[in-house]
Amino acid sequence: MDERQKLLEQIMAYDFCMIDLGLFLDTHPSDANALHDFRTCWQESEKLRKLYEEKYGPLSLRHLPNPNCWQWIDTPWPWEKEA
Amino acid sequence: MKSKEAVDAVVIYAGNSCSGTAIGIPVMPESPQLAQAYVPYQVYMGILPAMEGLRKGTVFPELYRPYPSK
Repeated sequence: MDERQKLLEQIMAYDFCMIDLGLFLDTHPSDANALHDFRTCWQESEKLRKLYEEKYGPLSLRHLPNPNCWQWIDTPWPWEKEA
Repeated sequence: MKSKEAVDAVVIYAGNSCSGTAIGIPVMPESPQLAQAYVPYQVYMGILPAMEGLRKGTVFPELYRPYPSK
C-alpha cells in the first residue's frame, strides 16, 4: 500500500471512530470520557485530512484551497485508484 | 425471570450537561416485565485504537463479538 493510500485509510479510521462514538454520545451526551475521546478523534482526523490535502489534493468540495481554479479534477477519479 | 437482587443496579448519568441536569439511568430496568425486550445501558470503558476499530467494525471492545470460525 502506498503512502497516499495509507494516509487515506488512517483518515477513514478516525472518521469511523467519530461516527461510532457519535452514536454512543447520542444516548450518553454528558459522558466526559467519551466526549474527550471524540474530540481527540476529530482533531486527529482534521490533522490528517489537512496533511493529505496539502500533499494529494482535496478530499471533498468543502476544502478547495484555491477559489480561482477547480482543483477537484486534478486528482485521480475513484476508478483511477492506482493512478 | 431474575430476582430483583440479581439485576445490575449500576446507575450512570445521561442528561446533557450542556443543556440540562444529569439524569440517572439503570443499566437494566429494576423490574423487568415478561415478554418485553430490554437492551442494557452501555457503560463507557474506553475505545480501541482507530485503525483496529475500523477493521473490527466497532471502536467499543465490549461490542466486538465475531462469530466463531468453523
